[in-house]
Amino acid sequence: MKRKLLFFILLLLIISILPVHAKPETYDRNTLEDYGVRKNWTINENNLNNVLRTYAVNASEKIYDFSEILTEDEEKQLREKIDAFEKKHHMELIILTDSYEYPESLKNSCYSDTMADKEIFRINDEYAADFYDYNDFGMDYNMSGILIFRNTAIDPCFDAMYYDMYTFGNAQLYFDQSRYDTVLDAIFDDLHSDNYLSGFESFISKVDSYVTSGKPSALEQYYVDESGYLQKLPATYHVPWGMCAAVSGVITLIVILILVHKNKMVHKAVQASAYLAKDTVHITNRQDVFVTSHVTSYTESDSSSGGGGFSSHGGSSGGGHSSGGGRHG
Amino acid sequence: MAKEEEMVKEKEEQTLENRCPACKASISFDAKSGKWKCEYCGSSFTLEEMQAHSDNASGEKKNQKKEGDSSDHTQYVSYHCESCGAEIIADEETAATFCIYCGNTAILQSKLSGKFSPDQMIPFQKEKKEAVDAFKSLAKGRPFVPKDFTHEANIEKIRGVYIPFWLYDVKVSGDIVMNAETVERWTVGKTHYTKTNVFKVTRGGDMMFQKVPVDGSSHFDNDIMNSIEPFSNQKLIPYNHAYLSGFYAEKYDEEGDKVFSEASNRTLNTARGVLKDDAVLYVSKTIVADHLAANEEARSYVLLPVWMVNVKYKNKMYIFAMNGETGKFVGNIPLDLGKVFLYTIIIFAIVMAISIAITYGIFIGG
Repeated sequence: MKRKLLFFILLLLIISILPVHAKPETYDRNTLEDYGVRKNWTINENNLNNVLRTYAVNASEKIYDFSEILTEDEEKQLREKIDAFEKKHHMELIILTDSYEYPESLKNSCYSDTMADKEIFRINDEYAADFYDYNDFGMDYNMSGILIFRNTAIDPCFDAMYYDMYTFGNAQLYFDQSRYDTVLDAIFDDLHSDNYLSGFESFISKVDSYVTSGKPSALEQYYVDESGYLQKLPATYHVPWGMCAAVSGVITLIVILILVHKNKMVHKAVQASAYLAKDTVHITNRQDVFVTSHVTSYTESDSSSGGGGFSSHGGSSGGGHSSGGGRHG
Repeated sequence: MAKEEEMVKEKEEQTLENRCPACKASISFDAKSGKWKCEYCGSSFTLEEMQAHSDNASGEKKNQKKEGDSSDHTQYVSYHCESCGAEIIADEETAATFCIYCGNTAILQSKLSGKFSPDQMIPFQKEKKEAVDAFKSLAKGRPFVPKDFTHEANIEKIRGVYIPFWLYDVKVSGDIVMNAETVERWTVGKTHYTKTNVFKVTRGGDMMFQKVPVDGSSHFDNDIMNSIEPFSNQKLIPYNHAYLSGFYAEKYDEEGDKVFSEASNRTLNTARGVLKDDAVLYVSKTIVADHLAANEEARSYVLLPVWMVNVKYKNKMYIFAMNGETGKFVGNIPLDLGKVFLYTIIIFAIVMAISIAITYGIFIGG
């Protein structure tokens, strides 16, 4: 009896020091009104499967660790930081992990890194965007928010896990490709080494600093519409003061110099062409001797100039979002 | 005063003056009509008529060049006015002037005789009034002329002067050597090629410049005299002192050999340009050797008509000159800095407004 009690106490001790993981609570969409979709998306046969396969969750939670890679204590620490971020920026921030298996068909794309990359990007993008779009995430009229998705499933092409960040609504305005790359690269080592707490903390910190610093100049001419798509603002005319002043200054100077010159009519004569008897010009010596030649060349660059601008891509919901491009690791 | 009198070396000059064949009053040349007009009896006479009635008018007889007549003159000379007998002092180079007492024209014969006897001249064809009008109209098209500068009252002195000029016939001969280039351009695909061919180009020959004028008087600013050019060689007539009536005249004080360099430099510059322009095929030409020489082929001493206008404005003197043949009026006009500033602001504002409108137009259109 004593032995049993001792074993029980020991078991309790072991359990108490082991990390505790908690699976997020989900709901069966078939039991929910409009399949649990409260946003204004049109649900039809084209996207119904996407809706049904997407977890229905209580959107008040910010961390959805389906892969159970975070302990409850780590989630608590992250949650505090996320709350602070949301209060500061009035923008949703979601951490999503899952082991979302890749379809067998992906192997057909493994022959090319580019093809594989595109396909892996597409699969994860669809999963993450659906999770955000078909749950009640997002603040403001265009459902602003940022989501980082860690897919712990191993893909058959790169034999690696995957992660990417996704921006929705106005959050898209704070990230150009350079900022996405900086954020994703900053957390690569931590995520690759399974230091998820540190990785996600770095993520929150980086994202916070970028949103705090405001829009990058390249995105200043954009806004996000109600469906979540980046749109270019109608061009506004700004007077090019510097250029106009420079041109006006040069023209004014030329005109003034011409007018000033009119007051100066006395000039030293250096030519005598008025007195040349043209019929007396005899040119008797004409020699043209070739000395040398040289050839120079330049080739036009193939790179196209000018930016292509920014655009959101649509999810199965029809809403727009942007993403960083993802990392394998 | 005594000192000044000492400076004046008394020297009797034989003066010439033109008198009306009808009433024997003093008579002057009228530039507008090209005739001599007597203001006393109203008669007018052509050159032929003057020559027929007056020995004085046929100045050719008395003013023949005398070789070796080059005595060293003093700074001032005096003469007796034939009309009123007053003693008038004139400076060394004055050849024709006026009696300050009676206004009678006096031509100092010795100043225009011997080696100082001009070969040719162009009589005045523009009147004093035209010179005054030209001065008064200087503000037209010149916004920076001070408001009251062109008032007639500012003209302190206006004189019709026959200025001594040397006219040179110059032959320029020799050659120049240039480094010259031609450029070919072509494109293959997206590559643009530029081929530069370098040549050593020689052009040589000769050319004549006829009657290149150089001011022979040190009294007059050479640049002003250059600026009233050109005079028409076709208008040159044999010298006749009868045309000096009513005008001042100077004799040269700069020898023809000494000032030939001015004609030489001008003709060489022009010849260089003519030879350079002959190499038409090239896009860039740089002269690397110059073997041109200017030789004086002929020289003549002429009197050319110039209206000298002295203007006093705000206690500062300004000299203007008008070509007495063509009417070309030159001189440097002071700038009204207030107007310059005002115009700068206005022009800048207008151009700025236009440039903003253009950029807005491009924005709307684009």
